[in-house]
Amino acid sequence: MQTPIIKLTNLHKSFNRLHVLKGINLDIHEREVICVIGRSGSGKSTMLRCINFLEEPSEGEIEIGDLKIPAGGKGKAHQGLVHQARLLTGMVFQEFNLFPHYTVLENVMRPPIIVKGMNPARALEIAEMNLDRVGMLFKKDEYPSRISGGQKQRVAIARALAMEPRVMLFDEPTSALDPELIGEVLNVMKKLAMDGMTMIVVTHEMGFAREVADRVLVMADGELIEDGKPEQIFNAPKDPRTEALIVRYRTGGN
Amino acid sequence: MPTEQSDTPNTSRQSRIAPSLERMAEWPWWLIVAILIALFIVLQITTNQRMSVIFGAIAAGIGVTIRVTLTAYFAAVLIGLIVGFARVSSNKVILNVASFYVEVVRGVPILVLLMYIAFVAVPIVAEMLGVRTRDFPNELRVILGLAIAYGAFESEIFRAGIQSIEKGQMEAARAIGMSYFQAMRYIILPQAIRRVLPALGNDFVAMLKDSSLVSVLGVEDITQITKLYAASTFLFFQSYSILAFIYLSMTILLSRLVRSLETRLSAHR
Repeated sequence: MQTPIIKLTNLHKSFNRLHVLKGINLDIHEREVICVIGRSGSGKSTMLRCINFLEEPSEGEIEIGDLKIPAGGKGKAHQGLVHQARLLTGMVFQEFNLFPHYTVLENVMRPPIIVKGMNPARALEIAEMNLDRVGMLFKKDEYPSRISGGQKQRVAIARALAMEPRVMLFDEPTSALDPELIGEVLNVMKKLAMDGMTMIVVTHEMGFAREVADRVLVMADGELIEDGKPEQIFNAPKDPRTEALIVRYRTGGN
Repeated sequence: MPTEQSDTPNTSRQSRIAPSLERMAEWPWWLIVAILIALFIVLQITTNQRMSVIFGAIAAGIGVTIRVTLTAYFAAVLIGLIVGFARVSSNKVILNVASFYVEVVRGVPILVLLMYIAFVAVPIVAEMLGVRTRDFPNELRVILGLAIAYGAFESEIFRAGIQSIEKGQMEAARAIGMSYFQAMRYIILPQAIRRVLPALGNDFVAMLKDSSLVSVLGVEDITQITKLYAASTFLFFQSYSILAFIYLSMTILLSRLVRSLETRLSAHR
């Protein structure tokens, strides 16, 4: 097998006394779609946020592409590595976090100009292509306050894609949405997965995990308790905590 | 609401003219009185020979008042921006230096601060630089004093504005790959400034009024000229009435300008 695009080695994270991640080891390969499930507080969001250093890990090492970034680094060299790691990853947040003072188009177009110094004509081209990809080109001149939550999240996905990342990170992308708006976002993500994008999705959407994921990771108490194909996780979970997590989904049958 | 409640029992008992009386009670009488007084003063200035002489004498200082206000205000905003950044810095040294400045300046009366800077700080700095103190014109000293005093207030406005922006904005900007300063410049500040614009505008008007303090140091703004003029002619009532009238006209005009600017900038929010 080729070398993984993301490799977490013995990753720990503590917030003061609270030990949130207790030694995560994980390999993720290109074109894989990974869903991370687990109860709230299990550390799944923290793991995701460590990958692009929104949280500095306390211990261990993160490899992204050719970058090797040990925990606890300081100074310019470390900052440089973190910056490059962020360029390789695109992040989609639960709360969208669109820039309210920019139009939909500017949200997608301006970051490559600001961060990469891309020329505006090229940035415009890429922005329109990605807005089209998520079906939001028709709202390009609106401000975020004038579009729905689902539409905001689709724009946020386009914004991340416009930076041309190699891995997309999704932090509970549908948890802040009204039920009727979840579908449109999941559909965009499904399309992205089919296009071969490497994705790590922290989610509570079991249906999505089962249908789209190549691998499902289950987290509990800051540890990875299970890692396998969706069929295995959903049909024959090894850990009773996984069982408890998916039992409602299995009996509910939606 | 309380006025409505107390009025209701009256109207039910009174005759047909009551509703119109009631509506008249809601008129902005203060504005009508103010406009009448203003008209009277304008009339006096234009028709009364003596009043127009006084007005001419005092109005000669408007240039100084405006110059002091503008330069001190823009310097204060610049100081406020820098210190505001420092106040949200994670660097403890920067944070403490900035907090020291803000807390000290906010705790001293502006007049005292002005005199302190003009008579204590500037001479010390002048000596260190090896230049004569009197090479620093008084106007420069008072501008410096006002800027330093107001810089502390503006920095608090900027700090509050920056801190009022949701944490997710900074996170999204950083996750995209922006540096801290790029995120501040393109994402946080534009939103923060729009949010604090009313407060900044208020302080501009306040600065215009506080520019009158420079008269204490002999800078010939409209207040100083009025002081001297009234003392030499004994026309206290006329002189100070015209002075107040000039300030009021300028502040009302400015408030309007600031408000229309706010509406324009917040159009899409």
